[in-house]
Amino acid sequence: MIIQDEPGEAAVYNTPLRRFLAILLIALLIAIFVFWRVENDRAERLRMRFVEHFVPGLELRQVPARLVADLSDAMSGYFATRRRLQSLESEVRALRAWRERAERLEYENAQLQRLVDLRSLPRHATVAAKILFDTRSHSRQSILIGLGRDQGAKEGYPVLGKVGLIGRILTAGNEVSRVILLSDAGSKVPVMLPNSGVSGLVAGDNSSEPRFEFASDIGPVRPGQRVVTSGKGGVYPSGLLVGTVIRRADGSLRILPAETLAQADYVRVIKHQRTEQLDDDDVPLIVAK
Amino acid sequence: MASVWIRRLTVSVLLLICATGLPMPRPLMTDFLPQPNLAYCIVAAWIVRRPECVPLSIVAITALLEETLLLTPPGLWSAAMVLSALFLRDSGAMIKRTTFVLEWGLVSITFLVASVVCALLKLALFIPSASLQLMSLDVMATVAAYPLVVLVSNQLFGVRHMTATESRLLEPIAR
Repeated sequence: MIIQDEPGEAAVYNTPLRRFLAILLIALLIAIFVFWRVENDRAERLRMRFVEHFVPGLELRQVPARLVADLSDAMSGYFATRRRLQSLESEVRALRAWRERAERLEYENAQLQRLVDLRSLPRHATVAAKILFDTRSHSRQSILIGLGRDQGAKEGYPVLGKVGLIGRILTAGNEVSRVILLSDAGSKVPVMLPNSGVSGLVAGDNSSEPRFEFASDIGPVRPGQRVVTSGKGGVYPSGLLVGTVIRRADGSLRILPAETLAQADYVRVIKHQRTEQLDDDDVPLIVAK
Repeated sequence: MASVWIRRLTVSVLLLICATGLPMPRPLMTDFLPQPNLAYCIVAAWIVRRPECVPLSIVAITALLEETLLLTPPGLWSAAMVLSALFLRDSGAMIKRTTFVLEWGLVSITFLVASVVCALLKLALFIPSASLQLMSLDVMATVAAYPLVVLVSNQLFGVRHMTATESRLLEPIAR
């Protein structure tokens, strides 16, 4: 678009050299993208090496967010303490009854296990790691943690929060690793409902509540039920808490993750190597990047 | 003309802040809060007014940095961003003679097209991306944020359309 009375502007940028440089720039960016797509592992390693140099700056980035979080915490904490105390007291009363029941069940369970000579679930060795950088966005749900190959981290290790599963290590750098969260669109976790035997997948879609897909019929699934990893596919050991089933207004079943990462500073990494290969009758586990 | 270099520096710093995500307290972000693409708004607002202050290399470098740090597929959105900037720069002279509403519309449609093309490419290459719902939310947020970004850059940094005299003076620098 060349306007006669103003020779500056558009005409200036339409010189062949500038055109050529701009196209070269775009071609370079597309080449980077193609390289990333084709040589994914190598590109991610390179990226981790680059990100590692940025880590000190990244921690600085978290400061305003932390401040806002702390402030809102303090505010709501001040007003909510009384109410919280009352609810906690009633909760404690209810839990005492549960505890008695749990002790009874534990005893019974131990008896039964001895009876059938069952090997108890293996205890996992965990390593604590600091959350360095929260890179959650609408197109990618992952975080960076301060545990790399040098500290024994490996790709595929499951990552836990205080109580439940957060995700798994996708790329391990030397000093930092990238953890893909349950909510990421590339994450699919084989799960089951502990009591009913219903198994399925928790499939992320980049929203905070991943989808709950299951192979068997919808019958025994109710909102409020707890969901744990089933161990199928071998990436995650069985029995890790994932979250609870909820039903959205549109009727779809979702999982409310047990870990929200809102206030978390540290995570635990389980040193768990992938154990088994896929069986034909297993729920397909897609290990997408 | 020192002021051009000062403005280039300003744009670089603003885009760098966007790339490292300082204005976004991400830990507080849930899927209910839309995330406007402020970097795009800044590039668009400046490039239609002051094309000489927004070198495409700066746009490319900061976009690539953001993609690298946020662990998204590197290069794809950067290329879309540079292409959009190129397109808006070419349209700059045309936009200048019309109303702001038309400029707003053009900038918004460019963003929409860039987002859709990127999403389709990701879909075709089996790269997981944001759901349609979240994407449309972000597009709307970006469209809504654009007038604010224009207003702020207008008031704070004095980014206004060039007069004929200015553009004639700047011609040797831009070339």
